[in-house]
Amino acid sequence: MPGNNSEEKYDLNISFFFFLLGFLVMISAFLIYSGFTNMQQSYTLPGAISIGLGVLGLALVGYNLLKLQGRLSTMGAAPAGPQVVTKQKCKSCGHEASRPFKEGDFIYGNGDACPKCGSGESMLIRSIFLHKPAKKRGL
Amino acid sequence: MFQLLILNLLGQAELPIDIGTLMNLVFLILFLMFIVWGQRIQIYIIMKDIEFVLRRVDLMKDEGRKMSLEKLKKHSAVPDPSAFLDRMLDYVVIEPVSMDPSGVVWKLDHLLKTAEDRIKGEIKEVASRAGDSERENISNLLEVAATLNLLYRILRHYYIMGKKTGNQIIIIQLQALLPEIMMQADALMGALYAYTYGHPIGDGAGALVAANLGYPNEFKNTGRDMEVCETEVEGRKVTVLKSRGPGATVGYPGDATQEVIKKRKFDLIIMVDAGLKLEGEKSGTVFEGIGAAIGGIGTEKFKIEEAVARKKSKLYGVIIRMSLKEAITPLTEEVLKGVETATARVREVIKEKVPEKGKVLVIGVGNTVGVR
Repeated sequence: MPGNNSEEKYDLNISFFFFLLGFLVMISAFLIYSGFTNMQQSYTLPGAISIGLGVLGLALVGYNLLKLQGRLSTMGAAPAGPQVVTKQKCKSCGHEASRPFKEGDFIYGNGDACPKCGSGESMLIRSIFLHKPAKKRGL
Repeated sequence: MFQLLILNLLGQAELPIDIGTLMNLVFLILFLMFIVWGQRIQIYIIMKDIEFVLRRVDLMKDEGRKMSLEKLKKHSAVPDPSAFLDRMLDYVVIEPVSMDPSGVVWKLDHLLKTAEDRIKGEIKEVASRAGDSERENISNLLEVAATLNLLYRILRHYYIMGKKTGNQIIIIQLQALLPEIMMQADALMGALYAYTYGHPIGDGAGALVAANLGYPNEFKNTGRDMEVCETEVEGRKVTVLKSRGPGATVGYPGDATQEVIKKRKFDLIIMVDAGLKLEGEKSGTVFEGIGAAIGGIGTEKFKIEEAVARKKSKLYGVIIRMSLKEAITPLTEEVLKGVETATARVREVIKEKVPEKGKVLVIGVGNTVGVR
């Protein structure tokens, strides 16, 4: 297991990452400040370039923070179990019904009693499959 | 220099530096920094990517162990089967030497059967309250958990090797493989759920086609973990062979085929199996060809090919396309449609290629978890 030997230890050492981000924020803030100073002194083009670079730096910081948040949330979350559906068909009346998978279900095995004809005979499990929810479409 | 810079920033310098000079200075420092440490910074970023994946695979491996332990506890008379589980997670089958390849198939076959017997025997002792199907599911669950464990250990090995030696080739190669490693790890996570609850998986497509053909006739046990059924399709006598469900097993179709072929001559032998699709291809599509449609380590394929060649029988293959993830995770609707298409296609082939009253052998290859 990792952690027993200091050489083998891996960890998400994010202090250096934050140091880099902090450095980038400082540089960006300085660039924006100097950009505005240049603009006031009528150096429009260098001023605009400085502001542009500063904003780009801040955007980069924001992007990295969002990426880090995404990674941390993926790491902490327990993987969700799949949604599996059991489809059954009545051997007498042909009535078809679906329900969430129950442990012990298997294809060509016996399912629940038919709710329609009430023949007392259990329905036949015809298929078991992964239910994929419909994708939400954007604008 | 820095004093001058700070005084300038505070606006207290006697000789103020103009902003352009300061900017040039900053960029010069950054330029030199990237010249000297650029590669190190890049490697540092890559190592962080690898660490992230390593941590995720670590979590998945732990989840695999946890799920296996819960499953074992559920069926075990032993209060804490964790020592047994940890032993199983590091279990290996040492491949036979292949310097002299003659007879290596039988040596490998013997080793695989010995390994399976031992694992099943130990599971029977620990999970004494489990039925046959449940024991087979536990055996497969342990195999998946062991694969996740191995994946994690290999990844960690190359990560530490890269870190220790500073070998950029190792690090960059490892980073290039990360998406594929994560795809495999995700697929194995899906397999953990399938074996824990007994969901039918994509790899069972071949066995499901055989079950469809055989229904409603009864299947009878034949050989090791296999079952056989006699049915009729359009006046042709069809013998259907598949592994024994609903537990998770692929059985030994090679042995069973040799046994069945020994007794009678078939006009046609059709093998149905799941096959890995190429990227861009549609899951659940069916294609066919000539030859033994069976994957795995090769021992069963060898036995079938040998038996068929000896009898000079015609051997057709029908394959259902799916991704690696679909093959080891619960059946998707696309693959299920593919199973229906393949069943219909097998019926058509029998009708087209075999005369009436002719004999056909259909071998449904695949894992029968969740399939009768």
